[in-house]
Amino acid sequence: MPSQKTKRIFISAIGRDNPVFYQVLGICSTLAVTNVLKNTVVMCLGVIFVLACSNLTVSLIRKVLPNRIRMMVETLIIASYVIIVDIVIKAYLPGISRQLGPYVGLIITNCIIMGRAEAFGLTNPPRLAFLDGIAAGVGYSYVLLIIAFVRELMGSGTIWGYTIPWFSEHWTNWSIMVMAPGAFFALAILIWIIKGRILPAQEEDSK
Amino acid sequence: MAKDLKEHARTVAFMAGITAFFIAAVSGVHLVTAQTVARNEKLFMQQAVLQAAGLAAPRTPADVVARYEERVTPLPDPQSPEYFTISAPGTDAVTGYVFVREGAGLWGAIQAVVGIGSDLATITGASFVKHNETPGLGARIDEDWFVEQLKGKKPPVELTPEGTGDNSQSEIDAITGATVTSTAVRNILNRTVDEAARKLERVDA
Repeated sequence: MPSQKTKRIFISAIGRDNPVFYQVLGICSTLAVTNVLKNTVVMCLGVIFVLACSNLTVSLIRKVLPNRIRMMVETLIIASYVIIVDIVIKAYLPGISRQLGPYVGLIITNCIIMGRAEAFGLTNPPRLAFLDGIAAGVGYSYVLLIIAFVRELMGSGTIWGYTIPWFSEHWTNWSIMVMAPGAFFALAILIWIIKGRILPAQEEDSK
Repeated sequence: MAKDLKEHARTVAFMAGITAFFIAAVSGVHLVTAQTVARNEKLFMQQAVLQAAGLAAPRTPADVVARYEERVTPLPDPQSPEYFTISAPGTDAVTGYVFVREGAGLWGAIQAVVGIGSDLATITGASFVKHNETPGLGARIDEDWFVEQLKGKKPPVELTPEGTGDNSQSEIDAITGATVTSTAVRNILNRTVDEAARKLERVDA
């Protein structure tokens, strides 16, 4: 019984209702952290954690939460979790913390998190809200990872900081892929491929 | 009216309560990790100083602290940012100096730890400890090849295109696509060595 609903949450977050390429949310961080794969992975883990925890917390207090201050409370919850993530990374993964710099703080402004709290956490029981947070986080992450893979490969000629044996010698790095415009190009082309090719093809199948 | 007032009071109380709760949670995590964070910071700085002095930084934190204490003497300077002297093991003979200097990068200040030999002219190494340069472009000043090439240079240095390789002692490779950052690094190096020479020669004289 639980698997039906859970499955639907995950499928919609990864496919049709994907936060990045369908709802076009969280674009700020999509531009900022996808030029090097390693930073992207840490950012994604942070976002998944904060999404799941804030969604769960909002869901837990949804029945006692006064409606008119709900957004203030959501912001407070999200900001607290983000600061905790920031402190923990600083203490136990100092190298990565130094590389991510201000980006971890940017999770606070990631509208996917507020969006899920508003759209799902406020109206659903804790267990589902937690899973929805993870699902939205996974949906966000895999899109970012695809973009980061393409950008690091074309921009720096490396993957995960390692040079690719044959490729790196014959490839001239495109600096623009490392800068913000490169993310716009990569994201736009990805959205075009998914919305123009993959989603319509699936619709054909299901008819 | 009374009902309204009660509702408002509840709302305010709820906000105050939940704020207090989360402040307590964040403060708790901060207190638990504060020491670890401070230790990380200190260790990172000590590693940077050792690297700048051209002494290979040891792997374990305990070794870093030991070597740092053996070789490095910090000299707090009220007139300008602090610097350090490096001495040969077991003696007081000064083999070099390490300076901490800042310069304007593309997005913010770049803080560099620069080591200079006892001739007050040759760079023994450098490390960029704080910067906000673009990841993948300017942030590549952290990469080994960039830092390694600075060893043995005699400022004032000039920039050459990335990949030039066999440079003279007054040339360093810039980073393609990060001209502002490369120029900032060049300026920091030139300024640091210039200031160091004037400062320390005056002290000795």
